[in-house]
Amino acid sequence: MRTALFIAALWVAACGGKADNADPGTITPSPTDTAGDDSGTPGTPASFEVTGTVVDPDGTPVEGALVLVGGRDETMVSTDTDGRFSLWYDFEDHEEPAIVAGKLGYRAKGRDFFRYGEDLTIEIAPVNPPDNIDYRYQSPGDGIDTLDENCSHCHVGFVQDFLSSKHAEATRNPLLQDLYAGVSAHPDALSCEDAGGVWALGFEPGTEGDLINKCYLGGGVLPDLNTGCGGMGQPACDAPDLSDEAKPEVFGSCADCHAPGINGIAGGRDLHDAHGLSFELGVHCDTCHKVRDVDMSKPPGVGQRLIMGRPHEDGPVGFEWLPVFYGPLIDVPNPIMGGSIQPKFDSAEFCGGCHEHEQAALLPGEALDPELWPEGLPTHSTFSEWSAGPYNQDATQCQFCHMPADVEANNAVHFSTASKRGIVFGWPREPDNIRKHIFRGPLEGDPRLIDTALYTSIALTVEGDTIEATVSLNNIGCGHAIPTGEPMRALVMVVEAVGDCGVLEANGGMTISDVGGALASGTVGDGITSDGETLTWAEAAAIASAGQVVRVVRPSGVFDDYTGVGTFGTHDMSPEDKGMEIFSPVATVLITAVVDDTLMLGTPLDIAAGDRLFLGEALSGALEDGAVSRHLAGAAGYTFSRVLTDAGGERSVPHYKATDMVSDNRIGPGENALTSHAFHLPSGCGNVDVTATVMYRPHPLNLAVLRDWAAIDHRISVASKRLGE
Amino acid sequence: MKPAALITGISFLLVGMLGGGCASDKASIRSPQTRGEPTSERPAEDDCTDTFPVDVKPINELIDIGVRMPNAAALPTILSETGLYSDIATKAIHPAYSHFIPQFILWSDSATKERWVYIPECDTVDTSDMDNWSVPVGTRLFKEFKIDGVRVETRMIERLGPGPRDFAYASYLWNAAETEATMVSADGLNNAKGTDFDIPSKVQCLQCHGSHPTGGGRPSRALGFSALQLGFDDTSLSLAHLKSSGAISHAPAHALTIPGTPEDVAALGYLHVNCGNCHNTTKDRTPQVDLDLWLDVNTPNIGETGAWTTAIDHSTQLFNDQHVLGRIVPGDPSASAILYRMKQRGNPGQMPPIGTEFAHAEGVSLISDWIGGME
Repeated sequence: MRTALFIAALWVAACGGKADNADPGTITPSPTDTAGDDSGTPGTPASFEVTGTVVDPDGTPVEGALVLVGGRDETMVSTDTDGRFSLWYDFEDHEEPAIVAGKLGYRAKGRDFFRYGEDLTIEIAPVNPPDNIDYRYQSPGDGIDTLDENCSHCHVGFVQDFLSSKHAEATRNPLLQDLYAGVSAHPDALSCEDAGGVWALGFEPGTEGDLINKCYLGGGVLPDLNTGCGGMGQPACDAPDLSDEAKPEVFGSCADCHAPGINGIAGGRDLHDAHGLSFELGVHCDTCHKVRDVDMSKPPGVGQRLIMGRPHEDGPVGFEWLPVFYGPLIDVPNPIMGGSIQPKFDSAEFCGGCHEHEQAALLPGEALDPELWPEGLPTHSTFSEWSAGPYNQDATQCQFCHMPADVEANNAVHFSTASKRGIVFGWPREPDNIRKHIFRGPLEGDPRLIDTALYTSIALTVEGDTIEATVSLNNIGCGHAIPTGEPMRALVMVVEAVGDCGVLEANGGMTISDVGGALASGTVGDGITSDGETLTWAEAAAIASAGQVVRVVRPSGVFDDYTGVGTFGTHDMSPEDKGMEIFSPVATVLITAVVDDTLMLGTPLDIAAGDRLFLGEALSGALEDGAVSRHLAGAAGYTFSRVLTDAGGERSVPHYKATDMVSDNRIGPGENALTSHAFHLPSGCGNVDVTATVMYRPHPLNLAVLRDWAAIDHRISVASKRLGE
Repeated sequence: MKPAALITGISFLLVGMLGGGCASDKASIRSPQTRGEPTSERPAEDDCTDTFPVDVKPINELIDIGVRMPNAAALPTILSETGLYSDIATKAIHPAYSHFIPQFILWSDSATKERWVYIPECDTVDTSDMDNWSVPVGTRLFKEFKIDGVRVETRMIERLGPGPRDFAYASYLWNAAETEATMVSADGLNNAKGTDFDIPSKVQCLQCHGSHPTGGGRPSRALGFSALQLGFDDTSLSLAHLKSSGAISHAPAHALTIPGTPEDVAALGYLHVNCGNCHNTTKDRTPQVDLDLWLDVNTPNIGETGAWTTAIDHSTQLFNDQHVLGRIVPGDPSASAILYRMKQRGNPGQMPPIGTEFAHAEGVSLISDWIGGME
C-alpha cells in the first residue's frame, strides 16, 4: 500500500500535476455554511469541520501530532491522547482540501480528496535512530537541470543559492587544507625552499589517494597533533606509503564541521577522507537536512552536537531507503521529501552546531589552565556572542541576516504554481519560511553585510599644541561580535591627522599592535641600538629595504580597560588581565638604505630602552578597500581581535595550536569601543582632518605571509572629523 | 473566495474624485458612532463596475511564473498605460483617481511630491483596524517626484491579490520632454536625470513598503494613505470624503487628533512619517530594536505614545556611540540618538537609512527644538 502511494507520488512529481488518485466515489464536500458559498462550485461549503485520528504504522494512535490545513499554520491543532484531532477548514479559491499531520521524529503525511464527513485516519511513519552509516549522501545537483533527481529537481533557487555560498567551499577551501596538512601555497620547489619549506610528494586533497608535490611549511593539524609523522626527520603525515606507526590518528575534529558529508561514520573523520561530493560541495543540502537534532552540550560537528538521522528504513521501489529530510516546516508531506519537522532549523542553535567551539589543548602533552578555561578554550564563539546580545530574539536569529527571507518567492518549489498547491508541490509560504540558502558572509551582498555593522565617529579637542582624538566604534548592525567569533579574524584601524601643513605626527594615545602585522619586531636593548641617525637591528636589516618604515612605540604601563567579549567581557577582570597594554607612538622613520645590520634612517630617531620597534610598509596613499594588507603595527590606531597563543607564547596562532587566549577586545553587538590618539599640531597648521579607517582582515598577516596566501584588507568603515567643526 | 468583509461590504462612488461607473450609494451611508462600525451597506453587485477591473485569475497566473510573487512585470512598462492619466501629454489625471496629501510629509531630500490613489469603485478599504488599512485588490497608488520643478520619477504600487504580499511595485523615469515615463529596472537608478535623486531598487521599495525580512514596514504597505495622514479638510482626498462616499469599511468614531501641544504634534508627526513606518509594533517592523515611533490613531494621552514609552528617557539598544546618552534625552538634543542619527548621511548611522542623501535641516531643527524644550 505504502509503495503504491509512493509510486503515485512519483508519477505526480514527474508529470507536474496533482495526484489524481481520488476515489471515484469521492464527493465534493457538502456545505455546512451555505451563507458563505462563494467558491464558484455549487454546493461547495465555505467552511467545514475535519476530524480524524493520527496513527503510526502499527495503528497506534499518536499523541501530540500536529495537524493542519496544508499551508495554513493558523489552523494547526494537536492530537489528544487517542490521536484524535478536529479542525476547521475555511475553503479558498484554487485549492483542494489537504490535511497534513506531522510530529517531531516522524515523516509528515498529507491527505487530500477526502470525503466531506469522512473521519480521516492519517498514518505517519517515524524516523527513528540510529543514524545509518550505510546511507550515501545525495548531490544537490547543479541548480540548472531540473530533470536531475536531486534537490535541483524542485528547489532550483535554493541550489543556486547554495552553490554560490561559502558553505559549498567549506571542505575544499585551500586555506583549510593547507593548515590541515601543514603546507603552504608556494607553487614550486624553488619558492618553497626559499621560504624554508620542504617540497615533497603528498596527498592531493579531494582525491582518493592521488599524489601531488607541495610545500610542507609551518606545521599544521596533522603534523602538530600526531607524533609519528610530520616532525623533524619524519615523513609528512600525508606522504605516500606511510607505515602503520607513522599514519596519523588524530584529526583535530576539522572534518566534523568542514566536511560533514563524508559518507560512513559521522564525526571524528580525517579531512582527507573527503572526496567527490563531500569535498566539492562541503556543507551541502543533504548533510544539513539529515541533521535530526542539535545537542549543544556536546562538541560541535556531525556525530556530536549535530545528531545525524540518515534513514535506515527500507525505501520503496527506486529508493534504497525511505526518504527523510529534516526541516523547519511541519507541512511538507511529499513522500519524496519525507519531510520531518525539526524547528531548530529556524533557530540560531542550529548554526551553533558548528559556530561555537570550546576546545581542549590539542597538541600532544599540552593542557589549558583549568582555572582560566574550565569549559575549554572558546576558539569559536559566534553563537554565544549572539546569545548574550540584543539580537537574541525570535525574529533575529542567525538566519535573519545570513539566510535572508526570499520576499519574492511564494514557495520553495521553484517551478510550482499557485494552482498546483497541495501535497506534492506545497503551499504558498510567508517570507520567513522561504529563506535564501546563500549563507551570506560578511563580504557578500550590496551593501556588504559587514559594511552595515560598524558606526565609527571621532571627537576632537585641542590641548596646547596637541590634538586629542577619541574614536568610537559601535557595533550597530551585527548580531554577534565584530569581527566574528570565528578564529583569526581582526579589525585593524588606522587613525591619521592631515592638515594643510601635511601629515601630523602622532605623539600619544594608542597604536596598532602586532596583530596589525610586522615584517620584523624587536625591543630596544634586546639587540637593537641606535645612534640617532641609524638603527642597528640585524633581524630587520636582513629583510628590510629602502622605502619601508620603522615604527617605534613605547609601553605606557597602562592597560586598556576595554569592554570585550566573553571571558574578557566580564566586569571583574582587571585591565591588566585583559591583556592589552597601551603602547604610545614615538616615531615613524623612513628607511633610506640598508647596510649590513644597519638601517639608514631618513629622519633622526630618539629611542629609549624598552621601546618596541616594528618594521613595516609606509602609509602612503589612501587605504583602499581590497588592497593588499600592509604591515601596520606601531601606527596610530588600534586592533580588535581575539589573540590566541600557543604554549611557547607565540601570538595570533591558529586555533588548533592554542593553549591560551590573552585578550579579546572584539566589539559585541550594541557595544561601543573607544580609543584615544594624540597628534602634534604645528603652529599655523589649519584644515586639519582626523580620519579613522577600519579594515577587516580575515586572517593574520603573518600567517598569510608564511603560507603564501593572498592577504587582503577590506575597508569597512571610515570616519573623518575636521578640527574646529 | 473574497473575504466575508468584502462580500458584505459596500460599493461607492467618489463623485468628482474617484469617478467610476458605480451607482451612488450615499443615501445608504450610515453615520458611524463608534470606531469599528461599518459605514454603509453594499448595493447589489450588478450595479457596480470598476473603472480598472482586476481579474483575479491573471494574478494567479502571474504568481505561477516560477512561483515568484507579483512584481513589476505585472505592471505596464510605460506610465501612460497605467491609467493614471487620461492624457499624459496635458497631465490630465484620470477622473477615477483621487489626489491626496498626507498631513505629515516624508523627507525625500529636495523632491516635491504629488500622490494619487485609485480605489476600485466596487470595493472598500478595510479600515476595521484604523491603524492598518487594507486596500482592496486593484487599488493603485502613485507618487510623483519633482526636482526643481522637473518631473523625475513616478512610483506605482498596485495590489494584485488578497495576500499580504500581493503588491506590485514599479518606478517610472520621466523622459526629458516629460511626455512619457518608462519603467526602471529592479536595480533602480542613481542620479536620475542628472540630479542627486536616486530611483530606488526593488529591494529598497520593500525596505519601507515590505516587512522586516527586507528592512521594515507595516501590513498596510501603502504608508501615506492612512487614517492619521488624511486630514479632514477639503483640499484633497480626506477621511471625510472617504467616509461620506463609503470607500472605507469603517469610519473613526471621532476626528483623529494627536495629543500634546502644537510642538508635540509637529514632532510626533514628523517622527511618525519619517521613522514610524519601520519603527512600530507590527509584525512587519524592523525587529532588532523595540523602538516605536508610529502614532496610533487611538492614543488620547501623549504619555502613551510610542515616543514616550520607548524613546524619551530610554537608553539605546544598539546605537551607543560616544556622542549619545539615550534615544531622546529630555533637554539635551545633542545627546539624543534619534536626532544624532537624523543628521547622519552616508554611513550606517544614517536614519532613515535609505531614500535620502541629505539631512533635513527643518526636520533637525524641529526635533532639536522639541527635545530642547523638554524638561
